[in-house]
Amino acid sequence: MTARPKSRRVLPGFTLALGTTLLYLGIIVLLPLCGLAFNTANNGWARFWQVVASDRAMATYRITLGAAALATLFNAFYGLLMAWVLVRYEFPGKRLLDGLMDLPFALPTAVAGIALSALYARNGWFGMGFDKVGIKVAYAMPGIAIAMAFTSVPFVVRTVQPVLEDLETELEQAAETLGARPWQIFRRVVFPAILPAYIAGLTLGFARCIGEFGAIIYIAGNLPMVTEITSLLIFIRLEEYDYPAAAALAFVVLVAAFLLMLVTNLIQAWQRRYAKIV
Amino acid sequence: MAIETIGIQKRFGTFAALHGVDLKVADGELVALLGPSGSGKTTLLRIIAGLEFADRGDVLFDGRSVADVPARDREVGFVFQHYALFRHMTVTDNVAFGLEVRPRKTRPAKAEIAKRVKDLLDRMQIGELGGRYPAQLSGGQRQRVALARALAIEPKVLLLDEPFGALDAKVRKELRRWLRGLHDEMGMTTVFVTHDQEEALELADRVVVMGQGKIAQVGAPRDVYERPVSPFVFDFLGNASRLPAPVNDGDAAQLLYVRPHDIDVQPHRDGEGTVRFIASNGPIVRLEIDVPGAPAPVEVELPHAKFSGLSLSVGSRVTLRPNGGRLFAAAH
Repeated sequence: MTARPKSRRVLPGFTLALGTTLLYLGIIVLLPLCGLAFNTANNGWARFWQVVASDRAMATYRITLGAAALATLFNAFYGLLMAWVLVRYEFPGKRLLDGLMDLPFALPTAVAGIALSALYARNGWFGMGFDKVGIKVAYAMPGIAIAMAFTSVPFVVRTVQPVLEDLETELEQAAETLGARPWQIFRRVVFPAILPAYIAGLTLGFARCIGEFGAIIYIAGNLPMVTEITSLLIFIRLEEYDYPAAAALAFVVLVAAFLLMLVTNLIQAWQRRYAKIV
Repeated sequence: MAIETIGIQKRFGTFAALHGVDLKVADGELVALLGPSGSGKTTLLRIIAGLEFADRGDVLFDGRSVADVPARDREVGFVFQHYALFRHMTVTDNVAFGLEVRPRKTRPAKAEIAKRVKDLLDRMQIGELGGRYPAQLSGGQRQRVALARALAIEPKVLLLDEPFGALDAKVRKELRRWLRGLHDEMGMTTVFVTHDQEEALELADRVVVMGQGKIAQVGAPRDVYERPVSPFVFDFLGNASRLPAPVNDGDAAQLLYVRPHDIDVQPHRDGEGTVRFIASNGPIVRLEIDVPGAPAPVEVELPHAKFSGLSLSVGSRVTLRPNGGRLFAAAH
């Protein structure tokens, strides 16, 4: 007689649990995406190409990707610094600051957009200053990037923070006893340890930038060819009841998002090669 | 290199980790800091390494104060209890780290570094593991990598924090002997921290017993074991049985501390002790005997053969004859 191995699962019913999650994934996530792809395919290749490669569409890709790159660059510095400060230092108001970090997640993006455009408009507090030195922020590229950075920076902070917290201080001490200077410790010991999380955070942030809509349309000015982002163009096409065109553009964004995730996962797999046990 | 600490004091908040530690370690010596947790032994080791700084007192290397020398310039090899290997680096890169981070002027050429790392790994008997990552190694192998990494910078002092603490008993014994051999071969001053008295007594030239932030006793393993200066040291170095000692009128009450295997037991009708418990599993039989005036039941260990000849059972009356032992004033 053999003893029945005791179940190691905490939640009962593997079949039920997996079934529910797959069903949910299917209905809420995959079905709409397939519908989108199907819809796009139905409209014919020529029409598709005409829409997604039009000058106006190309300009929106350029603007969206360019601003997202700027915002991500900013996140790369600021987000890492913020995570570092929140983990490594004790100061009054730290808990408050930690909580505030989530504000962009919680805030309706429209609110952020209106607040930012008021601030950076030519007669706004910051806008005035920038205007004096001849930099136009609101209704221009920098404004879009600022709105994007505002909504996406928590991704970097929140992915790096826990990894940094878990990093044993002994590693840094070991490096120190081996003669490493502070900068070398950061570059050779700390940074490689947080790199996978850092990349994940940056990519999620970048993806969020590409998809951002609410915060941007208030500050961007939305001039076709100059400050019009892709998600807005999709919206405009919908408003014009041009569903096939909207679907085609949406499909491009979808593919971009998938590629982004794929590349990130590949980078992460490579970064984590040392964690595998053979 | 000789190490000396003078009047080291260290507090963590309200907890006094060390109060006034004076210690001298001679060049080439292998010294164990032995004590229970919270005795300050690891803090002392970290202060010597420069990872912690004393509130008062000084640390001298070869007679020169290193109080203002940061850890990275002390040329101290430190092996952490949990090894602290760099997970994202191969074994080779881990060991090469201390050489790679040197300023260009003193950094050996790439080929030279590779050769030195290879030699070290061979010496640690892990020459074939250079391409692996720490996650792919066993505990004993990680320990060797950590040691190789610390030795790569050719330190003048080797400091080890509970070097065998995270290993299973068999590997621990094996590594212990191997470390002793390595020390004899390389001859560098070595200080290690342990809470395991057997480890300290077997491995070290000199044992420093610590308790409550102070040094309780320093001496050769044999001295410390055979002539403990306080009940604390006696207790910490092995099991202790306490017997009431006869005293003259007016003298303070004293207790005889004696090892359980140093007590001879004979059945006797009018014996002062009563057997209350017998554990006869294994090669050694353990008895607990109630003795009037003893602060706790007296523990006695007998070889199985001897025990069988005595025909003792729970409730038997016995006389106890301690062999050696140390007299200390009875605690109030």
